[in-house]
Amino acid sequence: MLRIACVHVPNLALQAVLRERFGNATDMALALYTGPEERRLVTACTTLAADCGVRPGLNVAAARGACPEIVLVEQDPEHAAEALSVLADAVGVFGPTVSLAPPDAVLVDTTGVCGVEITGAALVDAAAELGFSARAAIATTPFAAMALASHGAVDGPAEPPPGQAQRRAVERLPLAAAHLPLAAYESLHVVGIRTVGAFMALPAASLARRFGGDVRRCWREAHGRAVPRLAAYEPDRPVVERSRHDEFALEELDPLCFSLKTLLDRALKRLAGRGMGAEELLVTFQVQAREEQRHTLNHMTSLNLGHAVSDSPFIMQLLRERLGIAPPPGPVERMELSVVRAASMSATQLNLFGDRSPNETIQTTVARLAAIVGSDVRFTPELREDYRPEHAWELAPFRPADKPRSVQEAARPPLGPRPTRLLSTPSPLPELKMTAAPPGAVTGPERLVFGWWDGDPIARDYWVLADRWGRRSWVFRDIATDDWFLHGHFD
Amino acid sequence: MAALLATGDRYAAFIDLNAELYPPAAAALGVPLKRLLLVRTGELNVALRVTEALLRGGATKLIAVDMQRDARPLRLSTYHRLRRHVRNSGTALVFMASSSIIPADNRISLDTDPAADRSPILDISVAR
Repeated sequence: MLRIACVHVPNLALQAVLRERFGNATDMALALYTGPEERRLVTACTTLAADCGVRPGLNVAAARGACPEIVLVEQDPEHAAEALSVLADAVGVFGPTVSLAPPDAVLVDTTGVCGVEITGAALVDAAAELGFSARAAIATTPFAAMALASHGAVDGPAEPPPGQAQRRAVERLPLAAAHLPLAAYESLHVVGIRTVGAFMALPAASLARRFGGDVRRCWREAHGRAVPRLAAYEPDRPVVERSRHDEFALEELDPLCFSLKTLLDRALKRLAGRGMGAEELLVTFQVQAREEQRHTLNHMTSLNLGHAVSDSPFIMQLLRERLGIAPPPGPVERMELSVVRAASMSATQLNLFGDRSPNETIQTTVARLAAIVGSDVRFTPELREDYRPEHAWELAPFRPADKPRSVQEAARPPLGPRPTRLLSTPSPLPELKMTAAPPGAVTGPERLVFGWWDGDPIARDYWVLADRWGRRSWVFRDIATDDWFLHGHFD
Repeated sequence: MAALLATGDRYAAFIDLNAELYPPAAAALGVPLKRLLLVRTGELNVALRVTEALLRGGATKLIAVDMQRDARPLRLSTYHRLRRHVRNSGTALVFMASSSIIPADNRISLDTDPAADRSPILDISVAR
């Protein structure tokens, strides 16, 4: 027996706008509209707007007349589609197959899933954590799940109702729960078909003749004679969470971090639904323009974690640290948190005593260092096959060492004496004029001629000099110019 | 450093305020570079924050802070905070500086300046 969960968000497009722009405010008159400029019609509105007489289908001017303080926002289909993918991410943890049911629902095949609490309430809570007020139901067919979620109880039971009970529950629902094409719905409504049960009692053949294959398919699904295959949702949109603070721009670090945490929690929930964690984050703050400036400023803070992390308090700690060092240069009007890079969370063995492995500890520490230094996680020196001293090594992204190595394994055969300290820019030694061994020479010359093919050639004779206290230095003579330079010191 | 890193699964960190450490030489001396975190920063405050984060992380066996060229005394509160972290973490913390940077409170310093006309001196000073 299938076990299909459905999460339905009434007025998803409206809720998406409320969530992103108005912090899920419940006490505002807001309406969405669509259509050409001369005929803009309301498509959805909040309860407060509805109480003032605004309703879908009303002209925008009439809506303003009915509710002068109403906020009107043009409906963006792309925005609604993005909100649906957010919802799909939110419920991804409940089952392996998530399917979009546009415009405002997602289905999850939870058949055989164990170890996760799957109830209507849990599904509703998951959607609420991402800022959606949803309804949910669990049934044995996608049709019943969608019908019960959209028009049944707010949150359904943990298990699908037994066969006949589910059928009776669906039959009692209004005809709209069948999600028929609009023309078919209106025609049936006119002739007195008001419930799903009445629709199911109609002969399938005459429905097909009158309304076409779509309505017949719907009838068969209502009877459980056809079960559509759920098309798996493939996350293809980047995880981006935004918030706006137009009325009260955020100036202090605490309220800024508070708002940022909401965005971070949502982003991590979405990633969790995809089975992933964040590796690199970018936070963009839109800073309020000063009077003398024409444009707003964008202040960016990036955080490279080096490995997949889903620990919200830890990431928040790093972001707070980063913002403490480099805060936005003014009051923040808008924030956008985007996950630049995400990776699958690696499965780890449960630990009876809760100790973290050394690799986990060092990765956490490295992420913290990157937040403090404000760079990426390039902390591991790596040797390169290059004889030029300046190019003989580079800082590479940190990766935990696989296993302890012996000193002999790690060391490379030295080319010649190399100083422990190398000056970033060789320092001229104008007092040296000779072309042979300089005074105090201990070893040398070591001739390095390299890099003539890549535009950064060197042709040098290196010597190790020692002063009267035994301190050794690494100097070279430029073969082309006969100039001498100090390049390093031996500790 | 090489000896410390040769065994076990912990790391060492080198905080390079002068950006002068030459890793090929360290590798030739036997330091396994995969177990070395090299942090280059020119700011003492950032270096101290990094040091503290490393001490609190507990994954490093040794932290070396190289401030040869720009040695400035630590504030007493910073010194005590670092000392507490060192005690709790069991990590060795070494400051390399051309002059004393530690407040004189139970201090042990090893003077190895070969330019001085004397043998190396192990200086132990107890303030209280």
